[in-house]
Amino acid sequence: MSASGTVAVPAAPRSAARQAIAAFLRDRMAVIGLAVLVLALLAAVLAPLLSPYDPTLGDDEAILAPPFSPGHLLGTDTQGRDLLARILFGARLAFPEAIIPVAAAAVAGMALGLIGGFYQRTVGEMVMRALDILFAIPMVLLAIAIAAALGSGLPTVILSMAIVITPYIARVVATTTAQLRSATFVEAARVSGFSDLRILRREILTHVIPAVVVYGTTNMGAMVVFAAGFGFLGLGAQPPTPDWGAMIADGMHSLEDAPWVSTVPGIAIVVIALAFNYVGDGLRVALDPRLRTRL
Amino acid sequence: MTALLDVSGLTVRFGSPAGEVHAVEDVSLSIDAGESLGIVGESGSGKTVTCMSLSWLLPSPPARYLAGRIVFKGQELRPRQERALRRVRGRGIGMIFQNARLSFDPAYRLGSQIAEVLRAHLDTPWQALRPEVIRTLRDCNIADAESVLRKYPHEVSGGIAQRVSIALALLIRPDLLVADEPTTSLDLLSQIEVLALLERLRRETGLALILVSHDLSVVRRIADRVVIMYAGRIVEEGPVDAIFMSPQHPYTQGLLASALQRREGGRLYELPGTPPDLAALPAGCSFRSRCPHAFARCEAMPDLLAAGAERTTRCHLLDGSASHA
Amino acid sequence: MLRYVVQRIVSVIPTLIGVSLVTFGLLHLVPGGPAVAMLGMAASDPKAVAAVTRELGLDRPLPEQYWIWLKRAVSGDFGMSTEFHVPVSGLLIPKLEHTLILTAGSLVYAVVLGLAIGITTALYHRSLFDRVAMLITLIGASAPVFWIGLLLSYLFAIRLGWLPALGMTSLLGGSSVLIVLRHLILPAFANSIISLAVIARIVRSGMLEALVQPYILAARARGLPRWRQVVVHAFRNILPDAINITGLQVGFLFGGALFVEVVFGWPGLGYLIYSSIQARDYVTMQAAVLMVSAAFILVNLMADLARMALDPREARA
Repeated sequence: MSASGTVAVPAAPRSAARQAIAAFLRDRMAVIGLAVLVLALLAAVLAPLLSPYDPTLGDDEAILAPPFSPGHLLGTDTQGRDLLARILFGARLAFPEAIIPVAAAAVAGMALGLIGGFYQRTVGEMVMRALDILFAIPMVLLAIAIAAALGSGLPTVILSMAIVITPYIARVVATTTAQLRSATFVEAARVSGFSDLRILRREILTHVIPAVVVYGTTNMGAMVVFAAGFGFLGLGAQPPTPDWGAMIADGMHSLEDAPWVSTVPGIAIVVIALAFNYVGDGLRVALDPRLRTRL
Repeated sequence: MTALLDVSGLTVRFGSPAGEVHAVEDVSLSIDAGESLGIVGESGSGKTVTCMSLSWLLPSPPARYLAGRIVFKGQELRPRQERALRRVRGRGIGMIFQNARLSFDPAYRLGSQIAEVLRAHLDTPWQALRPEVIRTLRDCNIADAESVLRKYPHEVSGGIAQRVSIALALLIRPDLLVADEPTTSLDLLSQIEVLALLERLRRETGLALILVSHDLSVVRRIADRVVIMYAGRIVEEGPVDAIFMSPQHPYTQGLLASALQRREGGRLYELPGTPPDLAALPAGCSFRSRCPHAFARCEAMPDLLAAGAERTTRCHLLDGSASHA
Repeated sequence: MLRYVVQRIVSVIPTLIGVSLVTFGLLHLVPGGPAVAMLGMAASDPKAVAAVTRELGLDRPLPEQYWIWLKRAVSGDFGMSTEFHVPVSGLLIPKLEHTLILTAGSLVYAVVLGLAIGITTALYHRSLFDRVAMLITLIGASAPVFWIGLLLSYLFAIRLGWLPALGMTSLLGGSSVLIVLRHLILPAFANSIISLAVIARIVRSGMLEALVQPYILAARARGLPRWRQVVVHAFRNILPDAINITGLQVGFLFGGALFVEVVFGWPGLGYLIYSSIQARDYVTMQAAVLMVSAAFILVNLMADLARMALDPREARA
């Protein structure tokens, strides 16, 4: 009670967004994951400033130096290139390779999925069948085949991955849309004469978007790994540009004498993938009110 | 004569996000061979946890057995000696549960689950036992015993499941049968049948029975002695007629009053207030906040005091030097 | 249910057709067209390009090309490998068998270890073992399969010399079952890790839920030994979910095998695709991709049917 005698009024209930943020922050691992991702992103952006060496220039005198060698914290590879520099610059590829395909697939997948789930009996049916074909080919294989045909490089990798992931997102969206379509409140909207587009936008999209966000972020970890696969097979960015997957392949032949060349980039991949996984998990719990246990 | 089962100082707690739950606090009771003991209380009073602790049955995380000494047929039962406990469970102390259907595995037929339990306790092969199983099922008023053996738990009614459960308990011939709310989930007709069955079995086999219920009429019919529990403690104990005729603890009085009113169609008397939060028990007598006779002394937890022939009550009102200031 | 089974089998056909279209189309995605793709260096010579074009019928309209290709493919004629100079069809079947062996080995690991970890972590919930095991499986599931393969290879083959690093059979001749198995140990394990983690997770949460069911406590009260409670009752009740998730993993394991083959030099279809990409042998690549896709579809179909047959709930439905 303040001196003027006014009584404290309880604050209005927090909005859904603030509750979601609070729920996310309660998940310790998700917060750590987010911190790791932010740091890694910063490191990637500031790589030219942070990196002690040019990642593409080799030093003939320091070939295959082990970690903790003077001047090379993480060691060097078969051409004497500093691994720390290559990891930092490699991050500049890893993030776009993980995020852009998912974002693109999210847009395309949502469009296709909304059609597939909403117009189940007509156009939607055909769309889903077409997607079934893409499902039938192993993801890995399809992406590699596309990349092989189009030639290697970052854009190809991103395009291949986007094409391959789109059906998965479309399926998630279609299932959710189909379920929502038969929900009472949608029926009510239709009976009230709202146009299909409006229903899609207001009723269905608001439920679909969180589902897509969760699905996307949860799978971004897998995308980092997937993208590394391209590099490993030589389909990603071409040397001397540092690509984490390609770096692992580089070290394959000197595995016996210099295991770190392959190990270090792998660790980077695992750390980023784990961080994405934990963040995705935290988002999943934060955005789905049913999963939150209020204590 | 030594008691069949003697429990002293049983204290059980559970960890929970809201704090440690004091489910059972310093409970002592004993039962003689052939005797029938009723345990009465609201949900949350600790009666179920008590009867599940008689053979240290509850899995030890999450339950925490802080204290307690249990002696069955002269042998002490220690909490961690699984092999000894396994011999007692089923054979010495049988048990039937509130929801009989859920007490059977939905993936197996009733017959095979009965066979499994018998195999664990008896050496006789199933073929030799089968006639006796059928006989016992028929004795428990299950007419179509042969076909019930072939059914899955979800394919029979609650009443039949409960009778199968009783039959199974009997087939291993326990000395003591613990029944946790055996009639609560049943329809009225089945309730009467199951109770009649329990009474008959007691008469015929001399089985000791511990019956847990929140329903006073059930307890009155079957029990020789009754224990009233509240907020994890025993608040009153004694012969059933004595307790029902002249209840001493205000809680018991309240329970009887509301039961009586309901039966006679009078205005519903309800105990005011709600049972306390077992994770945050107030100091002093747990019933204090709802007791019409609470006074200054009640700030301290009363002991269980002798209050007549084989009766005890946990209430300061019975302490002669009480002043109602 | 029979109707559903038939539907499922029949739905494979349009998918196969679609797959063949996509595979056929892949070759034409190469900038410059298939002729250029196949000639590689020699593609700068217009006469060579024209010759190949005529020879392979690449100047015919596309649908006609497709039809010819499809007819040949169905009769087993995939053309000549530009790298090995042998009919591609001779290469495919043995390689497919090898990939299937690798997939089967991975499945065994995934199921056995997944069940073991899932059940024990549920039984020792919240113990140190539980937390460590869950963390390790999570890390394993977040790592690239080929990297794990390399690490295992380094540790067990190079450093410790217990197991062979590459290939499927011993160079010293002899390809007895035992030798193949010895070579199978590492690659199959590397491939199984992600599926192992998924299965362990599902089994663990299923068991945690099953172990607190009333019928488990009742079994205990009736004097049944712990192992019966866990195996006969709790585990039996999660079996449908376990079978379900395993069925879904089979296709994934098949796809993963393709990758692992490259790391370990396991001579399967995946390795064939990889080497044919390197050698610009697009004819082989196309045929192998088609073969893999068809096999993938069939493997998934088998897994689905097996799932439906084994799942008691489906049977009763």
